[in-house]
Amino acid sequence: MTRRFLVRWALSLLAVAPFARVRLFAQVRSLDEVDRATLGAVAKVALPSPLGDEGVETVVQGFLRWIGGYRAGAEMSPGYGVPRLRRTPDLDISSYRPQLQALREGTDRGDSAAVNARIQDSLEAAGIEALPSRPDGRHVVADLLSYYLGSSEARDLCYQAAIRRHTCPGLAGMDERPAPLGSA
Amino acid sequence: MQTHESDLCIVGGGISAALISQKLSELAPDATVTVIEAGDRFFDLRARSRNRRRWLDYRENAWPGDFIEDQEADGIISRTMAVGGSALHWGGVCNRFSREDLELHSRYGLAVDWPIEWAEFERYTCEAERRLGVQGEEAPYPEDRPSTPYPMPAMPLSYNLQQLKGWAEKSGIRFQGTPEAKNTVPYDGRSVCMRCNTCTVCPTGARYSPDFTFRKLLDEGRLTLHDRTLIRKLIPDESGSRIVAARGLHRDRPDEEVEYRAPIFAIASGYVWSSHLLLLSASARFPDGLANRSGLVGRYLTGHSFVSAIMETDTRLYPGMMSHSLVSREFFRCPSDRPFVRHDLRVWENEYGQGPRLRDDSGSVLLGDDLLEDWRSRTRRGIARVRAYYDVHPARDSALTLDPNRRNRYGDPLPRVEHHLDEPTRAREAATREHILGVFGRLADDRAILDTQYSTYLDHPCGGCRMGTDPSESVCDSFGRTHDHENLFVVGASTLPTGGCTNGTLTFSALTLRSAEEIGRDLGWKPAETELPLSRSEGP
Repeated sequence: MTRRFLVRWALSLLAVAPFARVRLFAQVRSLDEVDRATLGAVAKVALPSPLGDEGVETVVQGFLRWIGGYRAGAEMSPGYGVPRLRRTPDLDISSYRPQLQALREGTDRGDSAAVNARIQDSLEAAGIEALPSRPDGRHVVADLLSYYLGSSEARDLCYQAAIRRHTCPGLAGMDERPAPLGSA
Repeated sequence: MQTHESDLCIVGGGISAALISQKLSELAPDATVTVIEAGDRFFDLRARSRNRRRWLDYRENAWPGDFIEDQEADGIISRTMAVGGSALHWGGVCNRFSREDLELHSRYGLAVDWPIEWAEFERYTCEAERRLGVQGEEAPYPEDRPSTPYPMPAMPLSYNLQQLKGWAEKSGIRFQGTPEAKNTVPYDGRSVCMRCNTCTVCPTGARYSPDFTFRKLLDEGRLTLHDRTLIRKLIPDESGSRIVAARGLHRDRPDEEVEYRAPIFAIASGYVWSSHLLLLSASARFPDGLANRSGLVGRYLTGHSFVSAIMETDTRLYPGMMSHSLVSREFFRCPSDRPFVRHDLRVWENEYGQGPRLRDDSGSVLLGDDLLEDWRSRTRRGIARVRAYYDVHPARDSALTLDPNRRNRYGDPLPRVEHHLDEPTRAREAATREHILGVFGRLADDRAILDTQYSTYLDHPCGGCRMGTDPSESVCDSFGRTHDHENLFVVGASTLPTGGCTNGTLTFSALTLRSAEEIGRDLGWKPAETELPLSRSEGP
């Protein structure tokens, strides 16, 4: 084994070392009950209303689980014709807590217009121009939206049809227009 | 040094190795076959579901560990090194080549003819369809109809594809569902497609992958599989006319050389690593590598170029129903009295510009119901992606060479891959693109073409050990037997002289199955004595 290879090997080990995951785990744990309640209240404004309170809560819990399950440094899907190894980037959500604290005012009064305005200000302040393709830690609301809007459920809500992408529904019925939501 | 002996030693564990092993287990059941693969084996079907979930949720590799980190090339290649090869995560598309692909020189004065007659080649294509389990519908053009029907019913067209077919055929061009190695009925011990929409990692096994073939052969004791073993050199005998050994190392015991001895060797390592191994096997006696008297090992690398476009359709679609597509073969045939252009034509559902967004056109932030309404408003008209793979032909210097400046951990020089097209191809490039854009215009009619892209690389790359009848102009004969070494075969993608104008895997497989018969003859198989399984409904 050459020295050059040894160095590359050591660096690749560092890349997948669990430090980032431990830190991420600690950051998720550091969100206390108040922060989580704020996230829930913010989500009710940021997410579409047809989800209802229960649906919003399901999305929020799924989002937090997604963050907790993230592995920095994992091999990424190579993509077509890409011969180089890529790894998932670091995910640092240390900005979430101060963002949630700044968004808290108004959430306790159920003032959705005020919360909406605060979210917009917060996104402007953070310089968020577009939704990330995956949560990237820059802004808690952008990440929550990115998480939800990429889901099969969000697509069905948009199209108001039971497309059920990625749910393995079988071949039966695929030649028909997807059923309207709620009719199945 | 550890030594292993068998009747046939196959270097590489992808789809070609799987098909040769399977066919020889029928033709020469007493022959012993060893397959050597540098990568790992991934036989745990349950792990597929877990990996699929991680891929969907986090874009992690759906086949974690399916590569060797420092076994890379400079250039476009598949990164996969594993038992099953690239066909672990292919899309399953099984378009056929056409007669014109084999007769380019005699019909058009271009490139070279293949050293195989179409009627014979077509029979092996049918066999490949049976072994892979291909579904397809009857082709609208009579020239494209197979001599033996597909082994299972066609995949129903999804609602979206029905809409797209209606839209696309207004152009006068006829389309069909793309033939694919995806089960529409239980087949060969594998499940029916469940429409999971993640064909790159099919959680049910409905989409063919070679690991199923290997697993079955291993369970039946018909195969020895050595994974994690990298072959670094082939050793010829004193006369140089035969190969006596393949030498390499197990990646867990790199200091211990391992040797494989066999009366027949088949290199089935794909378009990069087959040529690479032959070049890497250079010695004082063969300074340019093995099978390389012609100087053509690694040369005439080929594939096809493409143009793709995104366009509006006249119907509403529901993207996400099924990863399937339409194909037209209208332009596979080019009259010899017209300027040469050949291409396929594919159509998919698409969502270009229709995803949810955080800001509207004025830059205002969208939240809640405003965001949903904005998203809905942009999905009312369907979007299609269309793409044409077009026929291009390689120059001699379209080549794989050994890069002295990049080596793997064992000190072996790694491949450098450079694609170059021949002069006639470059001369007609503008006219080819103009023709394809004209076809796209017919499809779009008066609706908008939102985006057009041109390939910057050759897709479905192949070649490097091209077959032919003249030993000075080719590396191997039509069976893949190298001109220089009577017991050394190169099989699959490497042997193609030209890359056609559609996906290549079915053709690679057909050629491999033909090679398997020649290897079988060397192992004592007599065609008249063995009844090959011909039923198309029962699987391989």
